[in-house]
Amino acid sequence: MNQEYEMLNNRLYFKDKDVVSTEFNTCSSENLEQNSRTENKIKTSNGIESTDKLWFISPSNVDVFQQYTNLNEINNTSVKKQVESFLNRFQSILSYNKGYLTDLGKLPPLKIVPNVHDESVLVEWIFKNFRIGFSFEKNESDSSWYIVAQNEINTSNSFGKINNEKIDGLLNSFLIFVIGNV
Amino acid sequence: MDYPDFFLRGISGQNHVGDDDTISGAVFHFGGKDNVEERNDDYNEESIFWKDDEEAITLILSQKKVSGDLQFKVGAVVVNRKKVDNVIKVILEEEKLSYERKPDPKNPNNKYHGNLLLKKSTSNMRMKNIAGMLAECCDKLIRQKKG
Repeated sequence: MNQEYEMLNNRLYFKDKDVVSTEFNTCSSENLEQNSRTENKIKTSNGIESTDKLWFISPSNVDVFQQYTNLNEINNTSVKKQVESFLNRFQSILSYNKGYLTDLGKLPPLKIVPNVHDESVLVEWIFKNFRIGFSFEKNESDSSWYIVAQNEINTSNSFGKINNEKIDGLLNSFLIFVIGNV
Repeated sequence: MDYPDFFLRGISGQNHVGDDDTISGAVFHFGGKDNVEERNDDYNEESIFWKDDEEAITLILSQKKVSGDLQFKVGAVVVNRKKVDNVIKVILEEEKLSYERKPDPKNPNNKYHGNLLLKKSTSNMRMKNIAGMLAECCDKLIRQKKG
């Protein structure tokens, strides 16, 4: 892990206990405002609903899930499970921290692309000058993340394997980066 | 060898681009089904068109599969070579990423054809990271005209 990611970690100030529950399929209702959440099924690009429960944020700019791909297109069971778990974690952390996010304007949607060749799924959060990516692989231990920033002069890059036990800290780090760079 | 400042990468998957013209890193994944012919060096390749002139755009957008369908149904993205050079610098130590100008065996008259090259020894995790970096090198999406 390189210096940039360490720097990101140094800027981390969210407390894990405040962020999410430890359950994958539901997030703690204590961490969500009652009037700002609805329990929906996943709406997919072709109108089909996934059977999996996710807590969705109703309002506007924090909803980065509006361009959901059809999760039923993910054939590999292990990959699908990883993606669903990840989205739940991500949703939960976004939801809890929405107070920090509402001033940022409309956030870009997550882009989810299944790869038919190797059965992996790429989830990217793409901003104007940087992107955050998560690649979920058939073998869960091979799943990885990256954050890349690029301009005419140089490239900044960090990447690593996804460690589910540390995913909350990783996502919080990325959120801090987003807040500081959008 | 001198290369132009930009090259083109064809895009066939509708889900590889966003409504706001953002480009998925999946556009630059190596080892897809198009790589049917093994190279006899240490690299995997993915096709590009060098943008020597505007004709390169016309050619890539009109390229067709054997079936007669358009090869790149979405269009093509213009990639900034100088930004790619910055990516190459980031991973220079391993010398894993490069590019070349090389005729397409299936269409040897295509003077624009070339390849992005990635060392075969590159891990899958690193390949996807590099693909994300390459996606950040994109300057403009040129969509196929409707109809």
